[in-house]
Amino acid sequence: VIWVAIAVAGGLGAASRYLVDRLVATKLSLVGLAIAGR
Amino acid sequence: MSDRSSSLRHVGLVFAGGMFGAVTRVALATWFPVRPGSYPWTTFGENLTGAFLLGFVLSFLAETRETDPTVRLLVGTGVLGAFTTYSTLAIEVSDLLGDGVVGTAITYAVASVALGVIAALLGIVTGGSLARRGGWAPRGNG
Repeated sequence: VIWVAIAVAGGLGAASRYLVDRLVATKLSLVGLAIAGR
Repeated sequence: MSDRSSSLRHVGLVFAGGMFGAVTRVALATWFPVRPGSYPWTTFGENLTGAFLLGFVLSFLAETRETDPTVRLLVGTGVLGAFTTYSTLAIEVSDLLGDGVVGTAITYAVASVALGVIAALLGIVTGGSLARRGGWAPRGNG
């Protein structure tokens, strides 16, 4: 059971970090576009 | 494939890779436990190995002009992202400082970062070289 928990936690950690990376990248792109559009 | 299902697939790849990377890391930490006050060789080795492999994979994919993100997300972001650990490095340095072995703590922190960069560079060179010599890279490249 503990190994399953570790696996699920590892998967969640990796996936959430990926999603945060993507979110930040999207926000930065929007900021970049806004600056470029000035 | 729609953007939505493509995004779900990408998250699924990272999740699957993360499961494998985390279990491998914890298994190694269980088989090779670190005694209090001693150099954390297990985490040190995992981080350097992960840095080398990430450099290798990303360089290999770049050299072969791979546009499908499957391997990058599964192995790079998922497996190696979960296999390597910055937080454990930070905790172990903190523990070593708490145990009063300041020299070991500083050596561990500096060596992890400096040798990690060197390991990643070695991986980048090796991965790119293998892609070219193995005939996986497009002709006329570089």
